[in-house]
Amino acid sequence: MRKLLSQILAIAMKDLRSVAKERTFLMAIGLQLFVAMFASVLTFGLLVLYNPSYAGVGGEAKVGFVGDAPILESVLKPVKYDSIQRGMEDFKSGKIDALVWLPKENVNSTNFVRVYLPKEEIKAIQASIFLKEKFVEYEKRLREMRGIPSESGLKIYSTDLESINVPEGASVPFKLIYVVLVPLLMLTTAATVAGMFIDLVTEEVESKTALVLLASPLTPTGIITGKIIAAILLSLALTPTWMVLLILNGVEMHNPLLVALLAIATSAMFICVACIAILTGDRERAQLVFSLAVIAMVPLFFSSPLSPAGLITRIAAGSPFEAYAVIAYLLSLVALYPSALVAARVLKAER
Amino acid sequence: MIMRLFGVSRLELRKSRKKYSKSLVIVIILLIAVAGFSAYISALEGIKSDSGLYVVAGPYSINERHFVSYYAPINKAIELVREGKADVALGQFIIARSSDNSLAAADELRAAIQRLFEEELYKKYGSKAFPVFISVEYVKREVGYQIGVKEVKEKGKVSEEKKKMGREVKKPVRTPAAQPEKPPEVGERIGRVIGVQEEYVTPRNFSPPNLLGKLVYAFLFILPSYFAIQVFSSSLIEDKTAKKLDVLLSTPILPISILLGKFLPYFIISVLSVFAVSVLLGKSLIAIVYVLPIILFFAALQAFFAVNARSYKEMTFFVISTSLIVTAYVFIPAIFAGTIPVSKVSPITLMLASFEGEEVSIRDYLFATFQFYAMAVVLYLMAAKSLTPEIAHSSKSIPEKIVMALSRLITREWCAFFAAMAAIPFVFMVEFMLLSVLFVLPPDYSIPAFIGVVAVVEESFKASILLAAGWRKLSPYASAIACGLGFFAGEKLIVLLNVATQYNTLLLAQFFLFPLALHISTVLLFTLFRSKPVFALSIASITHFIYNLTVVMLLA
Repeated sequence: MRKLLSQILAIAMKDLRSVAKERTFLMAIGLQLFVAMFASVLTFGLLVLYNPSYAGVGGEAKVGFVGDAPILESVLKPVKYDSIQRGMEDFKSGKIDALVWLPKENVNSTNFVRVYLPKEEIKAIQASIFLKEKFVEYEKRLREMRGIPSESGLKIYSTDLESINVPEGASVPFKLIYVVLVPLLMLTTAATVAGMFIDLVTEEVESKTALVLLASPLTPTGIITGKIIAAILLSLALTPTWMVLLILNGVEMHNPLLVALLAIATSAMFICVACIAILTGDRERAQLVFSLAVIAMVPLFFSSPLSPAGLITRIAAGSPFEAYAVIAYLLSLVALYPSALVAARVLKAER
Repeated sequence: MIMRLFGVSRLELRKSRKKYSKSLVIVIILLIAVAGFSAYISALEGIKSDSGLYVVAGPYSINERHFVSYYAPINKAIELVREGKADVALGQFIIARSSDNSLAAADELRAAIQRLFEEELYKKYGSKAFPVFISVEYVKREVGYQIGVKEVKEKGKVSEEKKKMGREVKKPVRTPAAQPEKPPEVGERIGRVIGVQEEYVTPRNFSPPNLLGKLVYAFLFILPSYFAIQVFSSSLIEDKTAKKLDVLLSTPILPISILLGKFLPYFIISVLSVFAVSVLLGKSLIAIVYVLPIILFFAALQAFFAVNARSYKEMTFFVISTSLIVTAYVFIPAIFAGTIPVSKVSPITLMLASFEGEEVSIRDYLFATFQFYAMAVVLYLMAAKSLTPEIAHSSKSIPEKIVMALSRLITREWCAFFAAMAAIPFVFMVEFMLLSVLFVLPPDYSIPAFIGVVAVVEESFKASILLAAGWRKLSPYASAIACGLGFFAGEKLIVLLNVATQYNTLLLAQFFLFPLALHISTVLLFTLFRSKPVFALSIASITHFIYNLTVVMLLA
């Protein structure tokens, strides 16, 4: 028994050595860094789009106005034009950043305001954040005139009951880290190690080295088990890496052990899928079937709070989570054994 | 030659027929159906994995999926927030502590309550409660772009400074190369204001254009091709491992024909899949024009890696990394479509614009796609040159193999000139990615960091060309000068193209318009110390860095 175990481990070590030799491990870390950076670019993009002032892009804008609207004008303090042609001229020559048009203000009914913004210029973002503020103010003024309350009036205070200013959109980066980035890193790790597992097996089959391995006292299941251990060990190395990278970037990681455990269980789940994909026989078909399966699984991960993605979000953010679901996913580690038995058929066919 | 190419395609098809049995095809079709179904379900449901992210305590409960509510009298609730057992307390006001969770929860709660409040207003007062509706039209103007290089990077700075710099960079005299935009047909526009198809929003929902939803949609055009190309590169690396490529190479078929012949069936599948998606989504078949350069580039990239990867697992990492990087490069700019000129670097932005009924000029099309076509050609050439047993089967690393393949292309000193020019689109892509990644850093770090990595990237590309020339035993100094000249000429060409299309801000022309002297002196430096490549590269990069930094300092 002990001998068998050491042989299985020898296979795992052999594969890991080649991973180290080809620096694929470094590439995998590079990949994670890239995912993290991609997400931060995305956060920044979203912040600019949803709330430019939060991202620091806001500011003043020169606004032109055409029409007859005393209240809107008192809010906007615009440059006035008597015709839209004149306004457009100045807009086109860059004298104003935006042109607002409201032919006739109507205090008692709905006002449809038309805004012209410059296309493909950062100024458009700046001008629209400026205008948004003004239009909200305008809406408030009109509502007041109609005797309708304008804001929920909910203020935010500290625990010492001091007023604190929370910028609109403060939750965007927070959610991006825990709802997108952490699950995405977990999934990239899982897809990478499972993809590598497929390569480890199919490469032995296709380059005929499997025959050499099969001539050893190891059973086909033993060989597959060795490869699975190599993949899990890789996941064990990659998971703490991205966690540490996040922590170094100032992200608070609650329950780190549980986060790592769930991430590894997800890797195991992907490896189980890979074990079935391997039955197709070679790398081309196995990778195709596997990646189609991943594409089918990933959207579902984000559409339920009980999925591994939903769970890791709440575990990492320190929110309440369902312990039974975590235990259920940990069972995928157990499922690795029957999966190995299934995948072993590919080697048996060689023999 | 064409007949031979088709011959290779036929072989590839025969191989596939053998591999893809009826039952496997059924499995694949089923998987595609399941994937489609799961995408549909999640699009319908939206992201739900963020449910229950925040804990609210207090006398009021809130029924919104982000929140888990606990009942507690307000004093107890504040205590819970202070202890960190709840993220926020909800009473007559919101109580938060100064942690990321708590502030995010407060922001989310405030927004949720404002939404409920507006709903309540509508129930109570009807449309009377919404006195203002806004619609936006984006109008192109031929003003000199006001975003300067510095502005792109110093997003966080205050606006006065920004305006000042904007003015500095703005060029007073500008001769638009192409026809001016047609005069504004104002009458027509006014007519449309009251038109039915206009989208009006309330002030709170007024925000810059956002293409995020459409991006997912655009992704559907490319996704099937990813799979076709993945199968192509898998088949290629399998043939390499099984030494089947060596058999083909011993025949008079040219290596490039082997690669193209094998790619042809997958190319046809990719094109058909784009057509299929166009028809399914009810879009014009013209979409292929925008997706085509991406498909070609992606396939060329994978072909190069399949020929050169040392093992399957190395290949898998390359496939995952390149898929991610290319996707990011193509999709990140599109997020900003319509708001900043940079977005036009991606063909996807143009595709979305054309779906919106906009006319895409030939100039914009060439600008967005030329680099992809050029890189595809270069990569196919490099892959074909690597397709000899001594490179393809060697256990050397990819960078070493790049130099080896290059040395088969650079047969004379002057070839270094063209090699350097051909490197420009790659340099541009790498620098663009680095720029978009680095500009999230604070500006004090991001500018030097960017200048530093630019120096390293440009010098590394030049160094690989020089190393290849050295391998070839070409005259080192002559090829160094040719390489420096080529790089300079390539950059100039882009800058010229750039001025004509007013994209100078995007390419940071002010920074990259380096005098000839710099490019030549750094390559000569490298050549001088070429016996120790790492040391030589560092010296060249540092010189480059110092030069760039000085230029930037002087400009600022």
